[in-house]
Amino acid sequence: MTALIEAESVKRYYSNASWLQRLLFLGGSEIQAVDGVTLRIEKGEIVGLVGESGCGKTTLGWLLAGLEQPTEGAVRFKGRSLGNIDAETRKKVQLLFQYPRESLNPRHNVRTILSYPIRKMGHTATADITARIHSLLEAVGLSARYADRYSFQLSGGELQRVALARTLALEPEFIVCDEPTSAVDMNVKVQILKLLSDISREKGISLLFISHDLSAVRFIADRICVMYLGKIVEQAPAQQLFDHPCHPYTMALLDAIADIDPNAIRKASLHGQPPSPMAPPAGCRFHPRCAYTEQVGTICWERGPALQPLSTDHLVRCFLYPEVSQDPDRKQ
Amino acid sequence: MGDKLVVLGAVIVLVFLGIAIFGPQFAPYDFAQQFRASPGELLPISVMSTTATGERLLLGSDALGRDMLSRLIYGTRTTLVISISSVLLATILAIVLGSLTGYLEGSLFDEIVMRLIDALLTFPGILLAVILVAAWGTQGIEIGPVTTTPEMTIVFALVFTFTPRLTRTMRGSTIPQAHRAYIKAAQLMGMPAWRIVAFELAPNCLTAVIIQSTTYLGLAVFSTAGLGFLGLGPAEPQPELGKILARTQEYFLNRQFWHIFIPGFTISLLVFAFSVLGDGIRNVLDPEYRFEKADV
Repeated sequence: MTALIEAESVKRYYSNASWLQRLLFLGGSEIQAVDGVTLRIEKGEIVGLVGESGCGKTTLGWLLAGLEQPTEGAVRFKGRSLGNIDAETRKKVQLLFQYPRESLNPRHNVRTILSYPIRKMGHTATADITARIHSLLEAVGLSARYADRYSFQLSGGELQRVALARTLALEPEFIVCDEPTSAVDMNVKVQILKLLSDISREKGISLLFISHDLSAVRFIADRICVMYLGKIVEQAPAQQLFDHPCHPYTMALLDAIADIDPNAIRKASLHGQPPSPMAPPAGCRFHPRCAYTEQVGTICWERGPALQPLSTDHLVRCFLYPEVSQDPDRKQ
Repeated sequence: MGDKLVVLGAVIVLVFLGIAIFGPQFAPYDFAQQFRASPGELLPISVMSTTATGERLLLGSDALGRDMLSRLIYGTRTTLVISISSVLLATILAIVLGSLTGYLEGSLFDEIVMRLIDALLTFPGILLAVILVAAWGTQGIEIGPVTTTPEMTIVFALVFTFTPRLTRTMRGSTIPQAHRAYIKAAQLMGMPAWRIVAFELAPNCLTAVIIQSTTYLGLAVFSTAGLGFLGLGPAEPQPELGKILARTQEYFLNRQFWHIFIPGFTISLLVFAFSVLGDGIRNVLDPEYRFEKADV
């Protein structure tokens, strides 16, 4: 069975080389925002994507939504490349932006904002559109009064609901949620998360939930991917990842969740800043900050580990675990 | 004080607009009619001249014996039509070009348009309009089956002078908006590019270009009159403020030296009124400026 959406060893590099440098093959410096990610998302599945700022999680989300084109590799929706898909199918992949106020045109009211995608879906009669607007607003927990409001009259949570309603108007099958709860306060966050997971289960919509907020991801996701400097370092079902984190980076992240006990011993806390993606460290990208390199040995900076299975659904990219023999093209 | 000045500017502009629109109804004579002091002799330049046939000319006549007041009224009409329509056309063109180049920043279309605009920007001020009118002539140009009126020639020349700067402004305010999430969202919904530019992008980028174009109204009056003064205005007998000024200037060293002040003062008043009004409109539209003022 093919996955609903899959990324196959996608890379997205940003180059700051000018056209002259490119012409002379000089090449400026390159940012390896996403460096060889393979990810499959099934129908109705909610996948969480966590990582520090700048690790490439938003870029990966934009690649999966088709807002960015991969430098290498391919993103496929229902087995067809997202780059050359028909407009009708293309609409089924949507993205919920991080800052809802930014993602809604300040000059349009909610009715205008929702009308366009509704018309696109073939509803053209005015009464039809009004009915659709009301049912969409209801679906995201807003009353019909909101139809005539402008974005500056709405709060952060209401804005994100309107943005979600606009997305739902196109009846999508896959939505990338790019940190949709980072701009709202705690109780609104919980409401939005509930809404997202309810809608996903109700309509069978797959979600890629991008966040640096582990508790939010734990709440919503079926499966979690941990990203570090453009690569996925660990992938596991949500419960298993929280119960048995295997990658040193995941352990450090979980350890960094605020603890009630101030005297708790921090086993694997993170030090320093993540290295620049312009010049990623040789070997394993995490080795300069890893607590286990001494234990594992020089292999950590000699070559990069491959993402390999520990069990059927738990993948990890670390030399702490014995290497499974594998096909050479998965090595990196 | 500033607010009163804006009101004054608005009142003056309204009065002039009234003159331009209803001028033909109350202008005492035809602008081309020549009066004579006695049979065979043209009326001399003077104030309150009385003609051979007994008409009294309130502001006297020009060197060809035509009624100064009527010419001033019709001249105001010509000058205002040319300057307002050139700013209007230039603004519309700038909004279209600026929002397209801003949205398609870095594309071939953007490069071509902006390099052309850079080329036009190398001509200082009114010089480009002078060159264009001189090249096209003041008789009107043939574009396919249509022949433009002389006034349209001047409008086109001024549009060429105003559009580059206005386009740069529009492009400048479009670029940051074009990268905002609501544009990305529209793209994701599969909205066609023309619709994104026309309905999503451009309406959010208009403030700066509108502010700039209102301040250009004064400049446009000045430029129109300047072209007329240099002999590049509409052909005779069509009156135009700059042309009237040039004619009076021929007699500046005569005893009628004060005659120059009649069209001169009219032009100054118009430019002043438009400038003050432009400033006022900027204060209303530009919140930054408004807050700056509130702090003082």
